[in-house]
Amino acid sequence: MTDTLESGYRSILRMLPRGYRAEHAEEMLTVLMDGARAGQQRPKPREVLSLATFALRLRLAVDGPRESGRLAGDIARRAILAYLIADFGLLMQYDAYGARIGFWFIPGLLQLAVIIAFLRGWSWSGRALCITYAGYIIHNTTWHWFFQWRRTVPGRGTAA
Amino acid sequence: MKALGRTEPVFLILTALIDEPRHGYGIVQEVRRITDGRVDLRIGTLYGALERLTGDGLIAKHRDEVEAGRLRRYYRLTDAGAAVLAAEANRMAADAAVALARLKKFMPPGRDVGPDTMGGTV
Repeated sequence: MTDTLESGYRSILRMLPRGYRAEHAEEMLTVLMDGARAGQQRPKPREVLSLATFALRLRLAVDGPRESGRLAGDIARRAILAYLIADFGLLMQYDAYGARIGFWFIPGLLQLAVIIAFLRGWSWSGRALCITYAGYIIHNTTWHWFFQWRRTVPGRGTAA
Repeated sequence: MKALGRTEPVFLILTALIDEPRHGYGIVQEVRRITDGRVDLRIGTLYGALERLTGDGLIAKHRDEVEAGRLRRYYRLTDAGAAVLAAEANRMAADAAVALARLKKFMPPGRDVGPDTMGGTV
């Protein structure tokens, strides 16, 4: 039972950036285990949320002097992440009104995957997902323009 | 001297470390005790504050202990931390004194404006 809880906590601690995790994960696990109720089997949702927020703050914070190249890369990544999170929020609101039809879940799913990839540490999977998402945007945009063009040219398509 | 900022958890964490070095969960328990259970530090809040306070040199790692296979890292208040906390506590006390003095004029006579406003006597 304790093992289940411990592995649960270990898995949510993986949200932390690698460097920070190496330094603090063990002591944080102790704090979480000490704070657990008797018989508790899973991490409490508020702890998961708190840790996710903290992980995000650690990743978004540009602190300390670093090499300029890495700093630029970090800023770019954080900008993408901030954009995705904001866009993801908008997308979810949009969907809540039922305004989208068919495959509505694809951008949401992709963005969620990219956000998770970022949170768990920028890796090849994050990069691959970003490329996929970029592909999706290009694909979508082209069709969007195509339909607009069809509507605006007289005598063609749905405008008639 | 660097200002402490206005976040209550940071203030309470420093206060919890005045009498002795404490480990993470020890800080959580002490803050709960100081505030009569009003403030229950979440893991992210605690470590966010510890990270910032360590970075600013207001607290420092004291020692690591392993108990029953679990790592407990103790933190201690530094001299700089004590100075910043004292400045902040004085500032808060001065603000509170002004508020209480003015409330005395505001409240109808006969109603008590005690120094302990936390329990809702105002």
